[in-house]
Amino acid sequence: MIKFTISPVNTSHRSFCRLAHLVVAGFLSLVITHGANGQRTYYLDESTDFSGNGCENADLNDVTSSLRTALNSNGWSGQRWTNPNAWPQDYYESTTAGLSGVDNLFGDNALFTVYAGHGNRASLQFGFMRNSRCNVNLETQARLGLSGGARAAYAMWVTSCTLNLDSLSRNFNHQIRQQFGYHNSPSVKDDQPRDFFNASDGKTNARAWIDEMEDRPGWFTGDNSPIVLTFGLDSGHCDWVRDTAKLRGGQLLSTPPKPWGWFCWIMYDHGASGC
Amino acid sequence: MKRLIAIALGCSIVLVLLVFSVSTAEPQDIRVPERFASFEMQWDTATPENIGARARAVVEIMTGQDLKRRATVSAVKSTDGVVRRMEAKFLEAPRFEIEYLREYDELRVVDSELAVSTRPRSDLSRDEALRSARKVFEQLADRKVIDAQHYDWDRVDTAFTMVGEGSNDGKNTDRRRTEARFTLRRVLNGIEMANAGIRIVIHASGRVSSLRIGGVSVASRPAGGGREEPTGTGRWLQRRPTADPIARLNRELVPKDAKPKIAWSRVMYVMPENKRTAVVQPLNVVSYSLEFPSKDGPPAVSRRITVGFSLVDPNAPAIDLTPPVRAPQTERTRKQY
Repeated sequence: MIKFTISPVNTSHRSFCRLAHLVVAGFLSLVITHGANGQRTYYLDESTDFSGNGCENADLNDVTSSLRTALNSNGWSGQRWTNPNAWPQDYYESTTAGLSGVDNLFGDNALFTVYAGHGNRASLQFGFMRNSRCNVNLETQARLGLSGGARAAYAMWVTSCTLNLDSLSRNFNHQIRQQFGYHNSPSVKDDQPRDFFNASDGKTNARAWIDEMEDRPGWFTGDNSPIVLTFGLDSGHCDWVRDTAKLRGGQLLSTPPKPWGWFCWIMYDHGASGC
Repeated sequence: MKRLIAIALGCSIVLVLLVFSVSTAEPQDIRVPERFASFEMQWDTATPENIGARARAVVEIMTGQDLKRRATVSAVKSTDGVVRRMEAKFLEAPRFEIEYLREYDELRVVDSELAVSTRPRSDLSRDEALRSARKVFEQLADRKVIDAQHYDWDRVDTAFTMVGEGSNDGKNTDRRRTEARFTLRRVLNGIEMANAGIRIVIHASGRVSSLRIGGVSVASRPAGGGREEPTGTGRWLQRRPTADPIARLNRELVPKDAKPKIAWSRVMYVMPENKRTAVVQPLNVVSYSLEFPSKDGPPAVSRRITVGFSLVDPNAPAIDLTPPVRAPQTERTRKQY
């Protein structure tokens, strides 16, 4: 913590010091913000085992290990945790009493945060019960980009229904740039998240997500309704973020100006099956 | 007594409604013939020349203009150095993003200017867009990019590109359709294939904003009347009486306490995902998710599961049509904080 002290000499000197204080504080906050946010950091949680661990559901394929390899190859660094090491508490807001949240250390402690598993509208289901919890209610229990941690700028939910359009506003309690998810229950092949990241070199995140996720690769059944939810200061800024941000391309790899005032989304709508 | 009857009646209506709401599957395809064939199928990979020629035809149709120069076709850089995709570029048409997916023999062409045009001046009419899509389809057939006989417009799927926005106080919200997305799957003697087809996307401006063409190749020869006969190791098969696929799903695959949510169910040819070449027979395919109750939140919905049931062997087990590519990679260390 840096402390500034102003000695009581005279009024003009005090004004000068106050001005200097503001300039230095502003500069420092700029440096600190950009220093922290300019880092290409990720946090991946994934549940594939949902049998007999207290959080029953269908077992899943692994969709983030190839994503991690791609991120690492592209100069990103971070953590990936799976099954008994992937906890609902990773996304609980650490400053909220009674939740035992550790998002300051995990889910909200990297620029790009990902959960792959099952879910529902504005919620995530983990495969292993921890402290009697399996689920994260993203509306009431999580605050990404805020309070504890506050480093997330992009969130990817490889889960059913989390960004279902009819309950989209339940995903509004975060201060991040974009969320990537599905309006329905998706069919996701192992390497699709990797392909999304690879595509976000030339394409914007928004176009890369909806283009890569519309179908299971090699299928023409239109099984998925991928959606990207973007936040901005106003309508024009929201459009600009959506049409600019590129994870692999290195565009807008920083936390957003806060608070957001406008949301905008884009989706390929193949229905809301399963939700 | 009257009150009891009213309660019983009310309960039965609720039960009927519940059963109806659970059975949200599309009706099963009833046009499946009693005799059908298995076919040899394989994923081909096009040469750069072929990719360039296909891309040229597609872009010329999308723009309505002839291109004078050939495409430049090159490998797309992936983070692991494996070449899975190729890209084609035309100097005269730089706004077109053209990708070829080598694993799936699939060409994707996007008009990048239209793709970001999310505030069209006019509303999108599905019927007008459909007429435009059919014209594009005919032009693709004329240019021999597709075989028109392989598709059935009575089975077209329609989806939309949607955009929306609003202020954080919930006021000024708006949502609109910017594109109509028409998908046709290749049809083999009246039975659709999951893994080959065409998607024509029409922007609200009336222009073609993207095209996706390709998929698995079928070893067949024309048998007259638009029918196809298997060549190689494909053969004709006789359909046998089999149980209703939804009933089998409920009986064999839905765990206790779970509720199935059927996305679709139809008879289809599906190429096994772990093979490049296979002899494929049609299956009764069900695509569904499972809803499980949860102790600390709302019910959780699984990601999609797609299975197939044999049409010729009533005792054959269900086939997982979307198996994992590899075993899950998990860490050996314990997370600590």
